[in-house]
Amino acid sequence: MPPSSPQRDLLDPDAVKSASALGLIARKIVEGYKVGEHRSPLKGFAIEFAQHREYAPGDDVRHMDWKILGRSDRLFIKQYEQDTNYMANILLDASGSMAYASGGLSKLHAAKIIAACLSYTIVQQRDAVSVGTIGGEEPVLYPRTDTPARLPWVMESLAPLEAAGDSSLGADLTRLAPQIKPRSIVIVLSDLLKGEDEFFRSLARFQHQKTEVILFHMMDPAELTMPFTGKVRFEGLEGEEPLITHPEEFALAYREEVQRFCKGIRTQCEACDAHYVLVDTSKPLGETLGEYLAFRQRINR
Amino acid sequence: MHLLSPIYLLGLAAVALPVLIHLIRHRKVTVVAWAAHRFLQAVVRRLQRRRRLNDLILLLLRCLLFILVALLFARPFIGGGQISGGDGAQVVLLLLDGSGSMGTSNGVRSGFDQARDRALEVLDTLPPTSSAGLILFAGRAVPLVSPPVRELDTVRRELERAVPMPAGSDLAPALEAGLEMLKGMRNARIVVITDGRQGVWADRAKLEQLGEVAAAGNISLEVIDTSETGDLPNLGLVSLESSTARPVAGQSVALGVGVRNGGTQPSERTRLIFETGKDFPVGEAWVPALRPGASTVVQAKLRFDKTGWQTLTARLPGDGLAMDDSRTIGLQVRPRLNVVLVQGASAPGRGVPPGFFLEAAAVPVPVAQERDFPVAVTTLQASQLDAAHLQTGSVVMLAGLTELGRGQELALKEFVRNGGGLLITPPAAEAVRTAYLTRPPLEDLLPMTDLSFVEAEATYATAPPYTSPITAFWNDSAAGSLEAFIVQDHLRGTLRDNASPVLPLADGDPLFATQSVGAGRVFFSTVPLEGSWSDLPLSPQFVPLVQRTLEWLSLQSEATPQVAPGERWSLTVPLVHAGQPFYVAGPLNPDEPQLAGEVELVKNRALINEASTREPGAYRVYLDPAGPPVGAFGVNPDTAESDLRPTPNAEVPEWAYAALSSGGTTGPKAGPLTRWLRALPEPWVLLAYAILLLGAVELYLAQRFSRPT
Repeated sequence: MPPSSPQRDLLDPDAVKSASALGLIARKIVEGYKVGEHRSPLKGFAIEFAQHREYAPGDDVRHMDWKILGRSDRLFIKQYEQDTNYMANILLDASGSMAYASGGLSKLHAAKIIAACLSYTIVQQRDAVSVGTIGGEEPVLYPRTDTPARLPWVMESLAPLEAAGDSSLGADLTRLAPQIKPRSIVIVLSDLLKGEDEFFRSLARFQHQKTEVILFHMMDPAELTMPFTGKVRFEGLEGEEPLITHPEEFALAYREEVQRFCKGIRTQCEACDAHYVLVDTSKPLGETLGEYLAFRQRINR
Repeated sequence: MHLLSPIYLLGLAAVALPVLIHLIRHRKVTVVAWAAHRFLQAVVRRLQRRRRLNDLILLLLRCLLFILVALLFARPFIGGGQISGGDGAQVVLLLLDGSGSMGTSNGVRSGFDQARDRALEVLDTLPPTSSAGLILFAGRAVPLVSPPVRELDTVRRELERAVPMPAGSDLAPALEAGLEMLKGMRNARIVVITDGRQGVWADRAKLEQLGEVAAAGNISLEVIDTSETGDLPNLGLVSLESSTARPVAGQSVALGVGVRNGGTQPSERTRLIFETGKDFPVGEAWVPALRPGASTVVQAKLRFDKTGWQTLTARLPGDGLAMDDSRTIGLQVRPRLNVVLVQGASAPGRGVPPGFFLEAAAVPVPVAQERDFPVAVTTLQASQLDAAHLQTGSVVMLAGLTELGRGQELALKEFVRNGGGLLITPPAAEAVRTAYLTRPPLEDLLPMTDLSFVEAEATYATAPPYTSPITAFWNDSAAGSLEAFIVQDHLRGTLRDNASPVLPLADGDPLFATQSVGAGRVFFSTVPLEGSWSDLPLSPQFVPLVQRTLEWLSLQSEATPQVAPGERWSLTVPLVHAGQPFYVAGPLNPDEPQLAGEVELVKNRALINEASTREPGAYRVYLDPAGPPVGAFGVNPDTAESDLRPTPNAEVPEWAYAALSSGGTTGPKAGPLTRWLRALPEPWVLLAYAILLLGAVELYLAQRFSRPT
């Protein structure tokens, strides 16, 4: 990889398979979108005063300590420490369909990077994070992590994940539900190409437990636009019957169908008070993540 | 239904092309491992059936297009099979009168239109699988559909295209060609469709003979008479002659216009208009009242002010036959002729110089009238002749010269090659005769070589006819006789290859000889024209002879003032123009000369040959389309066609008279449905339309179906 293109390095599928590289990718992405930010992107979970720091141009004047200014005529701002009261459960869809990649990066790879970024951010904010998989061979939820020192362990859990199997997302979620504490955060990264109704029925339980749900809807650009031409044999990644057709003849209808599907998912998310984030894996993931975190800051302000 | 070119049915194999393309297109498959199967399945399930139907429609359309194109190339037609007259089928040859008289119009339809209708009726009544041919006769046979074909639509199409020609209407050549064509065929018919004017049966003996040939060959001869009965007014011009083809500018020229009443009722006194150039009237004359069949020659005098080539058209008011209402000739209006007379010394004992009679005959008018005479003479002694004199004159007469300076000889040779005229007479004096015979001046230009003196053999000029253009005038006895003078002595010699004798003497020697040298002409007299060897200068014919000689010598080129339609018109131009393009402004393009060909080089002469003379009217010929014309002529139709009176029965061949008496055409007339079906376009035309329509539909559907669904 050329050293002059770090963004491409981060999207290298091989790099995502390595735990240390995944950790590095997550740190780079997070630091990238936090440049210029001086407020916690997850502010609102739990914060506590930590120390004073001399004011520097660009600091938010709302955090100015006016008492010190009155007493000593010097400018100081207050800094806060975050609590670890909140627990974030990041669940990756490891079903066969997540293996699809029209370019270099599959949906699962992209999901791993997002999960790593979120884990890094959450742990840096002194919250706890637990990663797991659904939709694959067997649902798994790994033990919680709440210190930066244990982040590599999270990365090691994510890195070797492979997309395989076609078990029901809803059923897996139901099976993992007892391990998820009420009033925590559940972050799901999935394409939801199968069993979305059952999935949303399972989410209803979390709604009752006042657990916040965030859905990162992973979609490949080819799945959104259907760019293929000529005679194409489509072979299902989850054992569907092969389909031979000329996709350019149906591209418009296909795109309408996909848009209808995405719109339906968003509507159901809104019905469950869940946040919906459509992730186009061809776009810079840091950008997508940054936009979402900025959105959270706005609504929590 | 039959096919003209069934070989093209092999093209039906091309139907496999769309199928092959379809199969090839479906052979290459890209395999994609796909996750979002559910959306694709939903869409394909919903649209695949419609898509397949669209594909099938396009495939069928394309196959159909190939089939139709193959059929189009195979040229299907209705009818068909071998040409023969068997099984009730007939072989009919239509001989359609296309002569000028068929252009007679009643104001609504012309005689030719009616003849065409009758021909179509004949075709409509033919039994199935019959065949037909078409020959237009207008002085000569013009085969339009020959030999007969089974595609009657081809005959109909040619009939629609045919137009009458401004030519005569002799039937014999066409009938002879038709009989030759139908020889040995069964159920063969020849149908003559004509207005029956006198020219049709002109060669009656030949037609009777051809009638016997037809009877012997079992070929039926039928005649359809399309002539209209009733009064047909037709005053026609039958000739237009000028007293000279080269009138002098500013001086009157006599015109004779032949007029004939070819109609069936007496004509009234009628005005005749003369026009030059672009229908510009320059004079008029009155034609007296004429009874049917009578003719007259109207005399008129015109004066042309501008020099150069012009056309002169005589025009009568329009009547039943427009073709003969005008006639055109071409004229070269020239300036006054300047003649330089160079004379030698007088013979001892004679009081007159050698050029005395020539000078007097060249300008035969009193001194007071010399200024108005078209010829002016400048008389010089031999020593006075120089190049400046040669530039002012167009003809030089050398009378009795025994020698010339070298420079003078060279200048005279150049003068002749550039188009000048030269008249040479020998000296009469016995003292210089030997020297002259040994080496005459301008020996290279003389039409005769090896000159010798023939003494005391009184002889005369031979009687007409004369072939030379100089003496052809005396072929008419009214012009006088050239046999009335005696030639006592004369020179004898050998004519050069390109020389021509003029006026042979009784002993076989020519009295005069001419030859062309370059663009100029040389006239040589074997006697001195001063009265010592011959009394010709004292003859009343001497003046016209000299005048005609001068006119001939001044002509740089000779051109016919008028030709018949289709006849070639030629004009000699200076050699320098050989290979240059020439342009012609004819009746169809009077204001825009169009490129007509190149000046040809024939036997050391540059010739303009214009053969596109089908249309009657005025023609002007140009070497430079922006410059003045270098030639002009008229194309005039056959005068026999002016006579619209029916042929007396006694002059009609017996077989034709019998056919006319029996009513002409036989057989049932086609019903309206048959006529409507026949009026439909030919199958291949329908096929072409269908291909265009299908092609458009295919393009539209292909474009519509290719849009993403």
